[in-house]
Amino acid sequence: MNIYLMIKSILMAWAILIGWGLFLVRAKRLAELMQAVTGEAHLKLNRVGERIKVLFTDVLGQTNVRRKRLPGVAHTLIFFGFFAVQPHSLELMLRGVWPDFHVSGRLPGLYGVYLFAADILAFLVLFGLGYALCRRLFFKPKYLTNGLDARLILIFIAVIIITFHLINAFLMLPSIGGARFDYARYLTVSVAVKGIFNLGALSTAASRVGFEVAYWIHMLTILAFLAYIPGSKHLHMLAAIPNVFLKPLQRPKGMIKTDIEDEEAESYGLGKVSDLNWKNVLDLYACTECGRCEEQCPADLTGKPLSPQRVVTDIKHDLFDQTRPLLAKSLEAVAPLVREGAPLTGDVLWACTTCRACEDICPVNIQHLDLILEARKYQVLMEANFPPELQPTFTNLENQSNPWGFGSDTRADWCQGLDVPRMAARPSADLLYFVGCAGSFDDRGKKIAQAIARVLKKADVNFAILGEEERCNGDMARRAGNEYLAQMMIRENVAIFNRYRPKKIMTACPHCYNILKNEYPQFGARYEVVHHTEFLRELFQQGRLKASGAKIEELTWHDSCYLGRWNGIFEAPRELLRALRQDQALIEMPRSKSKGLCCGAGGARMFMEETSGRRINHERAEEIIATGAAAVAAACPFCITMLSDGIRDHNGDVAVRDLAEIVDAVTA
Amino acid sequence: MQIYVCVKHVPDTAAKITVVGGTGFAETCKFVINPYDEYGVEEAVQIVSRAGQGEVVIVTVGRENAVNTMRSALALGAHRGILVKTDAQFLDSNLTSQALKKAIVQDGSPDIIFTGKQSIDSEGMQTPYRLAQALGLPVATEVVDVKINDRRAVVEREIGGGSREVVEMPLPCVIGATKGLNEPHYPKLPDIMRAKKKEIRKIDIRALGVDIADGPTQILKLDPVPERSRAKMLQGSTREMVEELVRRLKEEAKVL
Repeated sequence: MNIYLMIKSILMAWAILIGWGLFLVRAKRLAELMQAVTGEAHLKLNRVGERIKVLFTDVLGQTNVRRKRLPGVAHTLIFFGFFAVQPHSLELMLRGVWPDFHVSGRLPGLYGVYLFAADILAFLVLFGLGYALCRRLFFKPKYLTNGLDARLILIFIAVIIITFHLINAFLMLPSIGGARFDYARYLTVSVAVKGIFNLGALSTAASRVGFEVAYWIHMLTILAFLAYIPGSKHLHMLAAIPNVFLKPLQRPKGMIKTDIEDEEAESYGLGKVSDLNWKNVLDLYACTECGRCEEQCPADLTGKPLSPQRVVTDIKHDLFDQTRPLLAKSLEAVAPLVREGAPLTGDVLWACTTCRACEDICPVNIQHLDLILEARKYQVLMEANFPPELQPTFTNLENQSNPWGFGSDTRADWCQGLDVPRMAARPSADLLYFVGCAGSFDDRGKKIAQAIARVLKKADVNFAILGEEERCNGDMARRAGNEYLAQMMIRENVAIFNRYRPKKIMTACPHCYNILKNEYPQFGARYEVVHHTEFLRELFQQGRLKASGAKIEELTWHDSCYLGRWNGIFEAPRELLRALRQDQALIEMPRSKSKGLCCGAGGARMFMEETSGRRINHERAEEIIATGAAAVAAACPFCITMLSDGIRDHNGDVAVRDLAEIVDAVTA
Repeated sequence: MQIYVCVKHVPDTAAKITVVGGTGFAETCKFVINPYDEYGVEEAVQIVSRAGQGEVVIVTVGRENAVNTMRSALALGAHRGILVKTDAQFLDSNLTSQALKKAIVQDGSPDIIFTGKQSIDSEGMQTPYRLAQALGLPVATEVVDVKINDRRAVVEREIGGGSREVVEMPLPCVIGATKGLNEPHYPKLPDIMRAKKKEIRKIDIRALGVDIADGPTQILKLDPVPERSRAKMLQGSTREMVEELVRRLKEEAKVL
């Protein structure tokens, strides 16, 4: 027996060394990759207290994971049970090396309480695993990765938990557990296991063999799992916690500004994995391949080649494939991300509407768009590789500062006869109404702009527009990857803003709103920016707009991505519409608010052909028509166009109205 | 292969032209590279890049701010530029072609000279012919396809009615490009950056010995094109629209 214990001690010491050694070597490699990438992370570590709180809610509380109910509960069970067994396993592992190693002696009561909890929590893991297995064997949601990796992890965990109970059942036998600690007093599930297998009836030798078999399977599985983690999706166990800690604490976020004037720069945007920054890499490591992003993605939903999940895993695999040149610092040998035979193609990148549903739903706060938008930037700036239909759009923006190419001197033609003052004539105006290209040039958009001008006049707002001086806000060019063109227009607008120094800027377009509010500060224009949904609600609340008593039909509200998910404006339009309809509730679509489905126009998709799969606006139109509402309201000229087209293509009888048009129709 | 491309700095078609002083216009509007010339630049750059050697030189007759347009042409891959500086946007095509000829001959010996088939501002359509005449070279314009073989150019040119004429010319020659010759590529940012540093040599037109007072044509008066009367869209049900139409035909147009 003593000889066995000696051999066991040596074998276990080796096993620990190998298991932990492999783990550390692989983990170190991952850390080295994070250091080898050259991109600059635009991350400020602020509000640390809040971030620590997030660890309690999101990680320990598992709240983010449980936004998807059943899988979230299953994960919570696995999470707590798996971690609960580890201290016990560690103790036994060390006892394998030093047979006299016991921690129970110091505080037997506390040890007992721990064992009691771990025993029950471990058992609950089996329910979580059962559900996870059912999802992979029977429900098989399309978005859920279902490869060997995922199944292997389930097997690892199941083996660890089952052997945990078996080990404990054996430990209750005096010949195995000895008399130092009364296991039976604290264990419940393991007591049942002992009873079911009638372990008490086994001979001493048989129980020793049984225990050692369970013990070795348990320890070797844990050590193998440990060594396996860094290369698998289970890497999220290590990376998710820091990633959640570093998550954006507020919803609005600006696109990364690229210094295009930098004469030293050899490349712009994300061209190869070496251009990633360490935070991007942490994002890649944190991915659990849960597929929630893919489930929400309007592109994937309608049969486009893009899945945000695959973007993350493809870039992660490419990062691992490029380990050698990366760690050798021979960056020129790192292969381009988009290349012959690579899974990440231009079709994938250009399918993104930047609706941000992926980032919003991600339980570990991966910032998918930081990857996609930067990759687009590289394709446009460095390769001039983009859908051909964007070229005339870029040229129009460059020459006339609007995507359609109308003469920029006709920018204020929409307000002919409405007596709308220019900032040049009324620089003291309380409000600068930034009309935007759609409001200025698009026939439907012009009607919305006219409605807004009328409403502002009704409320006696002292406002003005820039008129012919206004330039395109740059959002479309920026999201299309043309940072150079975008910055040209942004700088022109910034100079004009800084000349007039408006007290407040209002936009009627979520894209104008988002870039003016969240990205113009990067260029030195910091002004209060409001969207018309908020501003009109305020006018109504202040009593400056009076309901005329005119009826409004049954309505549903379409959340625009850049209003809702990008800026958190979900309630302002709903409140206003409810108030205008004498507190009658709106009809909500199944996909609304933070899960609202994109219209398909964002991320410059408005100006690209949609040739693969079904049309996103058709998908949304069907949902709108199914509500039975007489009208759908929105507050984005691009959404309005997409929804109108979609509903018309479906011969739907649903009016599409901008919030401002409704307000105009029912106020006196 | 030494290729010269004559490029004109012109107002964008969507720009609003405000006549100033009777014969000029406000040059604050957006200027672009003359689109037909851009086809020439693209073709020249492609020919040199296929040949693996050679040089593309942009030659512009225009005012100082034409440099911006020349930079766009350089961003497409041309190597350097020569700006023949003038005082006015409009210059008689005879004088323009003399200036181009002198600037080119002074600089080197061309294998091909590309021009656009016409400029979109003065629309004279004469410069390629006059330039070829001045240099004593063969010329073909409205060219939609160019093949260079053994010091000979085989070009296809649009001759109207959907027909094309194939012309073979010895090099050097003058080729007037038009839409269809190629699709000018979108410049990459590093090319735009490099273009900012490429050489643009500036010569005053007088220094070339061109007497600008000597132009056979001159602009007497510049008038904006009268706006066509706006189409009116009638709205409402079919009955309402018909009634409104009849009313307008009776009362406004007085044709009924």
